Formats: sequence, structure tokens, C-alpha cells
Amino acid sequence: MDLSTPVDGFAATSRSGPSSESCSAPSVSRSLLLAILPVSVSLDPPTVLVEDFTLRLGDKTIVDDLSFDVRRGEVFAFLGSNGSGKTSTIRTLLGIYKPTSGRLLVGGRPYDPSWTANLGYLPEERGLYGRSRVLETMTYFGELKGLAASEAKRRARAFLERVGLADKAMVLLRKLSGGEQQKVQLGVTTINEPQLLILDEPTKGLDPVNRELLLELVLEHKARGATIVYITHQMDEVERLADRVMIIKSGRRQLLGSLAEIRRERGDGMLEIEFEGALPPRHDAYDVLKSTPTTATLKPAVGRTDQDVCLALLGAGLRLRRYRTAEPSLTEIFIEIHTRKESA
Amino acid sequence: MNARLIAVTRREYVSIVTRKSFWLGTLLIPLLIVVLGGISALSAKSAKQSEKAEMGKAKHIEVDDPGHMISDRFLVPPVQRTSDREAALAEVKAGRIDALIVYPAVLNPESHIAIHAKETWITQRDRFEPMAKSLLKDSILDRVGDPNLIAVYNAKLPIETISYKDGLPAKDISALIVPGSFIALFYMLLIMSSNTLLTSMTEEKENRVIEVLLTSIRTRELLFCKLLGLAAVGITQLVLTLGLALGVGAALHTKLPFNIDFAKIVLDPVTIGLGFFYTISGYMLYAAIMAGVGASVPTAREAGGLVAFFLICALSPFYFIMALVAEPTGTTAIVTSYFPLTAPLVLVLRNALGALSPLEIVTSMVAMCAYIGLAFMGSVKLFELGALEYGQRLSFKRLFAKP
Repeated sequence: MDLSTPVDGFAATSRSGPSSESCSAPSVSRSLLLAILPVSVSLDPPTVLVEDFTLRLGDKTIVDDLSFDVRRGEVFAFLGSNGSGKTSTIRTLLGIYKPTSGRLLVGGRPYDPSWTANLGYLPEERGLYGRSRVLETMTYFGELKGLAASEAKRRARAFLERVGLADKAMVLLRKLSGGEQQKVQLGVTTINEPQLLILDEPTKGLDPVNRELLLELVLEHKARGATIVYITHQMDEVERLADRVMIIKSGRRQLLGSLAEIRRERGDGMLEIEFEGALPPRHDAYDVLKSTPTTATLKPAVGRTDQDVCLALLGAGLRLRRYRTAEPSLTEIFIEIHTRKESA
Repeated sequence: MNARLIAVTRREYVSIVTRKSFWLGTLLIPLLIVVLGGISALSAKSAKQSEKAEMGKAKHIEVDDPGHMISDRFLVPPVQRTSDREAALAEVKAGRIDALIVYPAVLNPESHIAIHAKETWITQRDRFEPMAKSLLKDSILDRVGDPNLIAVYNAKLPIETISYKDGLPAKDISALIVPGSFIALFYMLLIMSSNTLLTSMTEEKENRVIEVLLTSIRTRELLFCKLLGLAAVGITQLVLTLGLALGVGAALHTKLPFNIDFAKIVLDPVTIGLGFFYTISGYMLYAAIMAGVGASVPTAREAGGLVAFFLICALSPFYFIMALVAEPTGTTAIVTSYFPLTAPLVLVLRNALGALSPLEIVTSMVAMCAYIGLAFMGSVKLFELGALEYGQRLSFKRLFAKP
């Protein structure tokens, strides 16, 4: 289905497919669609849409035929090892690089600096004017994002108060510690309360206390309805924040979906059980990989499903207290993807 | 101009003019030039005085004049005629007499006068030359015998030259003072601000701010605002320097080693306006070039070689300034007026000399604007390619890579 008519004032185009559940409708009313479509399908046009995006620099392909969307109000974790093409994708999305081919839309159209009032971007390569003062710098960036100087100053002071830097408002930025500078950078990024926040490794170099503070701030922005693209190598942050995850490798998409979907997809069918009774050590339906008197990890035999295993256990008189499909962690999935050799 | 562009332009201006280095450069460097010039003039004056003083100390000077050219009435103590040149020379060598002046037996245009003198100091070796020339000149004039003619010869008769252009008397040389001062102003502006121009262009890159800025403003807008801000800085610097020079000049004009008749200074608004235009447009041309240089290097520090090259180009007309002054409408002057890197200074100079025809004024103004535009577009291209090349120079390969 390829639909491309505005919904809710967005001139967006969305493409549904195996990895993209969102769609928009051309000439069908919203209420009718709500009535006939499954609840999980979002009607909102995506805040970010990337379609068939390829980026080449000289002979080198940086990003290869990448497609994804970021839905309104979600935290979208964009993962990949160093040099996998994440930063280049974001730079192209924001109009800093030109794509070799494909479409990249923000808010329904190619990014334009006039959209800056709705954007907060914290790049990986970041810094501030070292010879300027904290408040002056935050006000300046607020003005660049369309705020009046007085409003920018008010918001900057409020942010500095929130992150414990109120007494540093008139200090030169170069005199702040790395962590303090990073907080100011986040303040600069979010001063306009943007619709779309793109955070590229926002917690890099932060101590645990400040990292926690930053994650809280991210969640606050999510709570007010911001769409967040979150780039990180910290998988625990992804598990805590992300609604959906995409992993790319060498500029190609490897995975896209919710955490639960990805885990399910990447799990190898192993079962973890807690039980009362005697676990039969051998059975046609499964192999026992690990066991204690009350727990075990089982692998279904070839051609058997986890339901077969469950029935077999119940048939053997076991009282199952807990039963779940063992799923790999995001870290395990990430490592598996990045250590896997490309097939010919 | 929207609020974002105004914010960038204002920041560019304010961040520079609030730096101590800006005020040090703007006020102290011209002051330093004035002070050093004063010291140099005073030391030259003091050298002359000390030479005179040393002459005054001479107690015994002998003159060997085998041709009897020197009239006896000019030989007054401590100067006296010698009858034995060898003995007098021996006395000089022994340090007992101050000098021996030897005139040739026959005077003709190829003759030369020899002076043997007691060493005092290296800079005062020539101290007896004026006396030797004066003795000879006075003796020759003495032979004329007419005191009135001698007085006329010795008088400094004022000579007034009136030249005509288009049937009217041409401007007085004092009319060149104000437009000519733009030459010095352009020189100072470039020397004082070359570092500012470069650091201003590399600031965002060095501070890793550029990526965020480029999501709020287009590259060409960013560079345009920076150039506007820098132009405002240049005008501020120009006004301050001019004001300072006039203030210092007015306060110290009685103590200057040269005389300036302020009443004779002509203020021609067209010439002054053109001088201002060429100075500021030249400054902006080099600002646009520095933007390109800044975009292609990772830090301002690494741009030293390129900056030096462009500075030498900008100031190269000083090397052939005499040719330009002698023939301000000659081939050299015209060619260098249209070569972008030399045009600003040559045009400022030719404007001061009144050597630009109305047609040339128009074409040179258009050309300057075109050069700024071209340099600007080139810098935008370099900036787009190099702005995010953190920590490395922009390579030729990258410059000419297919998009």
C-alpha cells in the first residue's frame, strides 16, 4: 500500500511493509479507518520518513537503500556500530549532506532550516562557543530556533535551575567541566521544546548521576509528546527508553521493530521453566540444556513447538509455576549482528 | 532579513568587538605606529643635533687648498689653512687635530674632496662634509662679487606650480591626504584583522558547533551573516582608527616632526566615499577568502601558510608603489586594478591620486562586487565540503569528488 495524502495537516508519505506498520490514507476518513484497521496500526503520519536512501561519497557507499520511519511521539532507538552510517543518515535527514538517492522527510517534507523551531539536534560531534557565557550561548541558540531573546533567556534560566547550573549562567563555557558542558548542550538542544529530538549518544562521558538526570529529561520530553530519535551504544538505555529499535550495519538495515518483536524474532525457541515435581530428563519433545531441582532451560526438539513442550511437561505431572520463552538481550542481538559474516 | 540572520550577524559583531584583543589591536597598534614613528623622527633629529654638537666641539681643523679655491675670509678659527699636508695628516692620525680637509689642485666636475678626521662615532664620520661643501660653495659665490645675487642664490625662493585639468586648476596635493590615508587604513585593517577574520571563520568548526548551526541556517546564510558582521567590525575599526589618528594628530600637531597645514586639507566627499568603498570592499573580499581558507583547515593555527600567502598578495602593490605613483594610469596600474588580489590597494591608491576615470570607477566597483561574490560562492562550496571535516584538512580529492 502506498499512500500519500495529508492526514492531520501533515503532507506525509508513508509506506507499509514487513518492517513498517504505519500508514496513512488518501481519501478515506480517519474514523472509517479507525473502525476497520487493527488498533496497533498508527494513523499519524510519521515524523521522520526515510525511503530507499542511499549515500555514496566517491566510490564508497556509506548508506545503502535504507528505509524506516519514526512515528509521532515514540522513542526510536537508532543503533549500529561505529561507522555504520548512523551519523551520515542523520546529517542527510537534516539537509547537511545531499542523498545520492532516496527520499528523506521530516514533518512530511525534506528538511529545511525554517523547520528549526521544531527540531532539537544533539550531534555526536558537539561543542559550544568556549569563549561565550552559558546564558548568552543558550539565548543565542534559542533565538536561532525562533524564540524571542527574552523568552529564550527565561527558558535557559529555567533549564539551568533544573540541572543545577543556575549559578553558572554567567560563566564562560570553557570553564565548565565536560559533564556541565554536556548539560548545557542538552539545554541548547531542547530550549525550543521541539517536536523532534535527535540525540546522538547523549550520555557519552557522563557520570551515573548525570546520566540518570539526562535520561529523566529525555523521558520528560517523551511525556510531553516529543518524537525522539535516540542514538546510543548503551543497550540498557534503549531497553529503558525505546519504543522501537533499528539496527544498521555497513549502511544497511538489519533489524526494525519493537523490542518485544525483535527479541521474539531473534530468539531460538528456548524455554525457561520453574516447576514443582520431577522433570523427566529425556523426552521426545525437548532436550534439557540446564536444570536445577526447581528450574530448567529446555530446547524444543526438531519439529516440535513450545506448546508441544508445555503439553509434554504437564503430561509428565509437572506443576509449572513459571513458563517463558527465553529471549536474547539487545546486547546479544547487537553483537550477533555485528559479528556475523555477510553471506555471499 | 529574518530574526535568525540578525541573531547570527549580531553575535558575529558583538563577540569580536567585546574581545580585549580587538581593542588592543584597534587602539594600540595605530598608537604604537605613531609612537614608533615619533621615536624614529626624534632619534633622527637627535642624531643631527649630536652631529652638530660634535662639530661645535672641534678645536682645530686644517684645510689643504693647493688650488687656492677657498677664500681666506671664510677660514676662521678653528679652521685654518695648512702649509704641510703630510704634517697635518700625521697630526690627525695622532689625534692632535680634529680634521684635515683636502681640496684638489684643479677643480672640475670629476674632482673629489678628501676629509681625514679623528674618529668619534660611526654615525658622525660625515660631520665635516657640510663644512667642506659650504667652504667651497661660499668661496665660489664670493667670486661672483654681487652680494644681491649671492643672497638670491642662498634664499629659499618659494615656487608655486599650478597645473590644469579640463581647463581648471588641478587639486592641491593636500587633497590627497585624506583619500591617501585609506592606503594606511587598508594596510592596518588587514594586518590587524587577518587573525580575527580567520578565527571567526574557523570558530564554529573548532568548537564543533557547526552541525547544530547548519540545522538552523543555510551555509550561504551563515557565511553571509558572518561577512556582514565582519564588515561591521571593519567599519568600526576604520572609524576608531581614523578618529584616533585625527585626535592624536590634532593634539600633537605642534610637536610633530613635520608640519601639516590643516586648513589646506581638502575633504572631497566623492573621493573619500570611494576610498571608503574600496577599503571596505577589499576587506570583505579578503574576509570571504579567509572563509574559504578557514573551511579547508581544521584549526586557525594550521592556516598560517595560506594566510601569509594572501596577505602578501594583498600588500604586494607596496613593492611597486613607485611605478603606480609615477604612472597611475599606466599598464601596471590598470592590470593590477583588475587582478582581484591586488585590486583593493591599487584602487585605493589610484583613487587618492585622482587617476580613476568615471568609467573605471564604475567598472572597478562592479568588479570588486563580483570578486566578493565569487570568493563568497567559492567559500560556500568549501564550507559545505569542509565544515564537518573535523580534525583534518579538506583534500583535493574530496573537493573534486563526484557528488
